[in-house]
Amino acid sequence: MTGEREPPDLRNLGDRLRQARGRIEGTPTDPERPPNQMGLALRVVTEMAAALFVGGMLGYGIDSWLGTRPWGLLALLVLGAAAGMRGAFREARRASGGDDGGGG
Amino acid sequence: MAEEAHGAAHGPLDQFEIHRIWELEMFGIDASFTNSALWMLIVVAAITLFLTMSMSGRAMVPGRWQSLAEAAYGLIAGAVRDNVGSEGRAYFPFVFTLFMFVLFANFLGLIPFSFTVTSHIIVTFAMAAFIFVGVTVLGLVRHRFRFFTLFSPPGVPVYLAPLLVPIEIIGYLTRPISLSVRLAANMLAGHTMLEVFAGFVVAMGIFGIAPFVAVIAIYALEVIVAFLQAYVFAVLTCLYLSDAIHLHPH
Repeated sequence: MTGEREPPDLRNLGDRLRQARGRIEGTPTDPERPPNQMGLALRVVTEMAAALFVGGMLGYGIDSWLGTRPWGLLALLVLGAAAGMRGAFREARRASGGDDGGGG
Repeated sequence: MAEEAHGAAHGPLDQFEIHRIWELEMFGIDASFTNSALWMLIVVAAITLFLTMSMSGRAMVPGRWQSLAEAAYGLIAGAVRDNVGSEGRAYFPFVFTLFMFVLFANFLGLIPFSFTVTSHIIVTFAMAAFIFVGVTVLGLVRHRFRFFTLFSPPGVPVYLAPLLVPIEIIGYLTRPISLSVRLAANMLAGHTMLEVFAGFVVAMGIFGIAPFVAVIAIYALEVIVAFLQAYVFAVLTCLYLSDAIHLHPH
């Protein structure tokens, strides 16, 4: 009513709002905790196998598109294995509670 | 002993068989209504029933059912907030829908004689592919060409880029496959294991008490796995969303 009494309240409210926003936005990323070692092992294995599979399929596709059999398949299988390792490593790092490794 | 279990009409893999309930041919495509489709409908009906019934009271102090619904909501809201941040709130309905569908499909699949929708890789892959395409389109719309910086990790020397960029791209393309395979493989393995042990119970006669105990233990484990895999599915969706929105967040 009188403009005198409101500002401290409003400032207070603003502070509280900022605090609440900070709670919402400033939370660290907290990916899934590993339930057990077997779950982690399964995750790592699917990651590696899937990357190898994708690499192989891409290589096969490139080969049948450009007619470069077998070089595309060979090269992309190696790249797929590397991607699988990277993914598995990232998964393991994430599970062990550190950052996800490799800076993204 | 295993022979007898297999010799019976019911093998451990029969539970995953697809039956046509209502034959339907549409534009030369077999679009029959199968037991898989039936169970998907049951899952959706169960979710609708659960959420509307439990929240119908809207009590200030929640009852048991309402707290369950609120816990599910809070779990996913928390996952979205922690992994995507406040921009992720727009995608909460999407993640929550996915989570509830996977969760209920997993749980209903644990009822004896039911059918586990999520044990079929085509079902999980359809969801994962949808997430993958959606997230990629979202990233492209939000960041245009800057989206492709997702494939070049920061702080990498230029001469390594020709090697690392293809690796990152393969890693990106791996996502829908590892996401779908993980869920389907977990369901498939657990249910097969349950049936194999259940077969031993009958085959071993009086000594069947040992596999019977094992079946109970595995069943308890499967309940946890059913929940956990649904949660992992939701959290990974959040992480992919976060990648598309922030490009290099975590």
